[in-house]
Amino acid sequence: MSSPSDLSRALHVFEQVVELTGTARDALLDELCAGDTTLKTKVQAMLAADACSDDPFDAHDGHWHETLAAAMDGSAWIGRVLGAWKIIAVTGRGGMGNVYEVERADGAYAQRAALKLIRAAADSVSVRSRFLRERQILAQLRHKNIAALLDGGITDDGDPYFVMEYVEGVPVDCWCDDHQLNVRERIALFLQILDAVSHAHRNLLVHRDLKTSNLLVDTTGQIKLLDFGIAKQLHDQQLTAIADRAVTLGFASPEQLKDAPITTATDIWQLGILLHLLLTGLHPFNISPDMSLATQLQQLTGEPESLIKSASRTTASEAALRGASSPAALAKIFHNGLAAVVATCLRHDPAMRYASVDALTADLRAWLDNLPVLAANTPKSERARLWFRRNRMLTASLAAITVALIVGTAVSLWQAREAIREGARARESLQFLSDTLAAAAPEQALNSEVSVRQLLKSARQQLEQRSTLDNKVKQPVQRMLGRLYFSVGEYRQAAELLELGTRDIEPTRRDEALALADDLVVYSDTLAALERGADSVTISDRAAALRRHFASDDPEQTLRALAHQTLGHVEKYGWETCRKRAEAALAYAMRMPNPPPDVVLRLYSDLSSVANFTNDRDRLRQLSEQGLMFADQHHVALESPSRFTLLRNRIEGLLLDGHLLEAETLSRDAIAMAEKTGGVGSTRLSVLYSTLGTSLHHQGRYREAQTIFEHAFELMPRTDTGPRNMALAQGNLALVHADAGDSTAALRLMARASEEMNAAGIKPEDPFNIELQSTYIHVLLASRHLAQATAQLDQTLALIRKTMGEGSDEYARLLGAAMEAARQSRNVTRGEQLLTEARARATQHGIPETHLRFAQFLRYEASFALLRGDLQAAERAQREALQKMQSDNNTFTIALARAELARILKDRGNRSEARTLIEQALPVLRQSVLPQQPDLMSAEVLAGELGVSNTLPKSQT
Amino acid sequence: MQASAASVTQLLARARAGDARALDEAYAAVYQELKQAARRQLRRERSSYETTVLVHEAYLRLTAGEQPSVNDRNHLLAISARAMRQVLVDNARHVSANKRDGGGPTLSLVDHDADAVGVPGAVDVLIVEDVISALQNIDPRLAQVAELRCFGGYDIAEIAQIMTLPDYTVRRDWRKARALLMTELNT
Repeated sequence: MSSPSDLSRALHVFEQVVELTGTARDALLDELCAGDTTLKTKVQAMLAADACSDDPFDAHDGHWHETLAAAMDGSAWIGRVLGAWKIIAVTGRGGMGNVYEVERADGAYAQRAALKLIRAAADSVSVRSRFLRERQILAQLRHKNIAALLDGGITDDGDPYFVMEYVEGVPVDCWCDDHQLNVRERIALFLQILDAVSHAHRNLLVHRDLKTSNLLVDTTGQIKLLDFGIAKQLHDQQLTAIADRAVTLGFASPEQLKDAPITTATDIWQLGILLHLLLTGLHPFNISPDMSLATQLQQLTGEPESLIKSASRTTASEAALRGASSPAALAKIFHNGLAAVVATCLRHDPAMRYASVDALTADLRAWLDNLPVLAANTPKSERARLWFRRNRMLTASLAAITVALIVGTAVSLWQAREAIREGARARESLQFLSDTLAAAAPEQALNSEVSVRQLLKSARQQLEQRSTLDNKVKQPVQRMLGRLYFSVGEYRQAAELLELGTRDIEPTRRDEALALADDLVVYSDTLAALERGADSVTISDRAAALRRHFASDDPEQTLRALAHQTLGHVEKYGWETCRKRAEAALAYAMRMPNPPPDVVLRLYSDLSSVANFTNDRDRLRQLSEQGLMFADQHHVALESPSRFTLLRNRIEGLLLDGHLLEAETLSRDAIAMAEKTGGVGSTRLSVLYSTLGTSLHHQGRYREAQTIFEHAFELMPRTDTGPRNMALAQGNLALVHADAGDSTAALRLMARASEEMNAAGIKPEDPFNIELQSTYIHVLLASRHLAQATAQLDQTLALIRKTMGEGSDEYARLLGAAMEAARQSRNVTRGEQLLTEARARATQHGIPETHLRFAQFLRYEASFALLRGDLQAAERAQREALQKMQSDNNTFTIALARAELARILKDRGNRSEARTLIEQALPVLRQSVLPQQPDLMSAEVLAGELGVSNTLPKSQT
Repeated sequence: MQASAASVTQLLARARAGDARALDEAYAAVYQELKQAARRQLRRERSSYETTVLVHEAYLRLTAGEQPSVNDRNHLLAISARAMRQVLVDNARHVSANKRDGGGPTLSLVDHDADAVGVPGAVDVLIVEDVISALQNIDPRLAQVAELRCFGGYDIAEIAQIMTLPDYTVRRDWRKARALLMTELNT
């Protein structure tokens, strides 16, 4: 620092000349300095500084404030003891925290080490235990070129730290330059790096932060790879989303920028950057640390400069450092393979890079041996196949995917749009990202169920708070959030966001249009889930129109346009048309060499749903099984939502076929898996509980069924469920109450269900409404409200005849209700007519003789015979019915049939067998239903007549 | 020391009435508050250091519930920048001293592309401190502009308001100070 008077004079002179330019300034400067060269130099330096446009002291983007942070940071740590280590100096600041030089605090032996403190509070117990487990894994990684991990722990503040072997060395690029290694020598040194990385990959560790400053060359000329601190186990994707943001941008791979899954290919990318730097001295994307973040990101989205081009524009001295006489001579060396090797590392699509470090090593060895490199010759499809094979395990957790989507969309949006170059908007995007990520604290990311919802909530709130955010930034984020809400079954929220996110967009580019079409499909599905059929069709048509307009030449897009249909389409065109459309689309897909699995599964789901709703049992079973098999063959994860409909339909098929135990088991398995993985959405979970309830109901386990149905109903999110599903769920509940004998509750629930349907204006002939009417009839009959039941029966049967026809399964099933009505009204003639018709229909529908339905027919045959007074025929039919039922698992129905047989036998005078039968039946009936249930009541009466009621314990309820 | 909100405003009022000790006390309270704010900030922030945020945080805590007069407000903000400067400089001296004791060249694990070796922050803070100290003897107004800008984090308009000067005067002063600071930092 100059003396006060010098300083004062310098400031004075500066002030005089700073407003002048050119020769005028020079002249006055000379004059004022009057030969004082020190003064002149000083003022000139100040003028040069003044000319520099950026202000490092600016509070927002200046370096000064980082400097202040650096000054503040760390100092407090010196002298502190962490575990067995005492901090003796601050070594530097890393992206995620500080690095300290430490020594053993216990003085057990002299050891110097480097301690890296990571500023990512690991507050929860699970994060801590995960970190400590990971420390074990890292500590086991031993390789001569990898700096060993010595220890690790968590500070009192919850920050994790790693202690590593202290390496005295020089960054690899400096070392190569200092020693003027030529290209061959550089490659040979690089092979040491590859050996270390390959070793780590074999141990399922990806480094993901390979860069010159992490690769030191020690005094013996050995490479030491540092900082496996942020590498995570390949399988373990959850903790890393945040840590990865700290990756040095110049080395960041596209998947890191988008937060897509990190794989071994990430290291390949970074090795490519490194090799390019070592060989040319230039960055393949022309990135330098002094560039703004926005510019760096922009650069990284482009194509890398080829090794040859970089070499040819490097300086003569850089070329000389690499043993080449000129830049052109250096470029010439790269022609023969090396340029292809680096280009293969630097492909944006991870699947297109080298499939492994070993493959990269092999190519570099081949080059050293003057053999042709394979890089240029491996077909793309083969490379992709190899990559997928290596990374199949990477089914990232839902949380990781969520974060990836949020970040991915915003960043790729960034890359996509020209306008985004403009600084203001770029900064907004970044801020949004970082706020969102900050909300996804690592301890939350561990629990996929909690995190997805919290993350979505926080992201949505962030978005809402930013009223000034440009729509170009906002809409894609809204769409992506909408998709995520859809995937967790929050349809209302999803519809709102998708509406905002797709409003008034007229895409001009193909990729934009197709992305929008994909989002519109989700929007359309959301509307269908909310039972807004007409809107759903409109949106679906808009998506199809976009695909036709922008990609009529692309078979996959044609397929997608063809394949998408929703409940709304059924309302509009009917089941048959929808089935034909879906069949045509499936046939189209199967003609493609590699049909997209998501579309194929969707089509199988649609077709099996059509079969389910039209009670087409054979197709239902075939299609759901084929679909699930396709999912298995294409490695679709077990918990994937795209399997859901197929699984549900598979269970429905089992129910229709009367395989109740199988249906029960499958439902329970599916529920267990859904609850374990979380995030399937309570709507879907509710559906599974319903199928479980139905399987229990059909087994006569009414009380259990009641509990399960009640749970299913609780799970249905009111705001996200349409009136049809709401009404049917209440109908199910009503039915099980009625069967258990609680007719008051049943009728109350039924009334509410009908009200729900009517209030929504759903027409009586709507298939869901018809199903609810059938349920109503069953409830009325079970409650012995005969007159009302008969009236409703006539009305509904007429409706079915008109819409679905007498050939429909609905009609056939209602015949059963009609028979029950005839039995209750003791109308034998009508009953026997119906029985004949029902048997004929069942045979027509291909229901096997072994099906429970035929046993029920025999029960009715017996009832009507009894009413006619033909006791012999009644006994024969009832015995046959009982025999058929034995193979089944419905203990309630068996007990009921036994009680009925007891009544016939009593009338025939066979009191002893009647007594035995009623003694078997009563406990089961009492167990299953309430005392006021009519069948139980008549059985109790019979038992009294037979004089056995007192020998049995009374009903407990 | 825990200064209550009321006391700082009162202290400032007393200072305005000519009580020199009241000003010292107010300053001490601000210093204490800022030091704590700085520590909190370090736990929260990852890389950059927004002194304005800290100063404002301290300001709000110290004046909680009160609306100081414009004069008092400006006075307090000016004091805060001074206190912030002292917090940072004290700290930088501490780091720097420890660094010398620690000795030896530093190497591994440093981000090569960041400003790398040693503890650059501490050194730079001390250079800026030297420049501002020197300016205090020859041009106190210039020194205060630099102080408010570098350690308070204020922009030109805010500094003009705090110092009740026209914008162009502050801009001209800062131009000089900035050129000088950048020159010193580069040598």
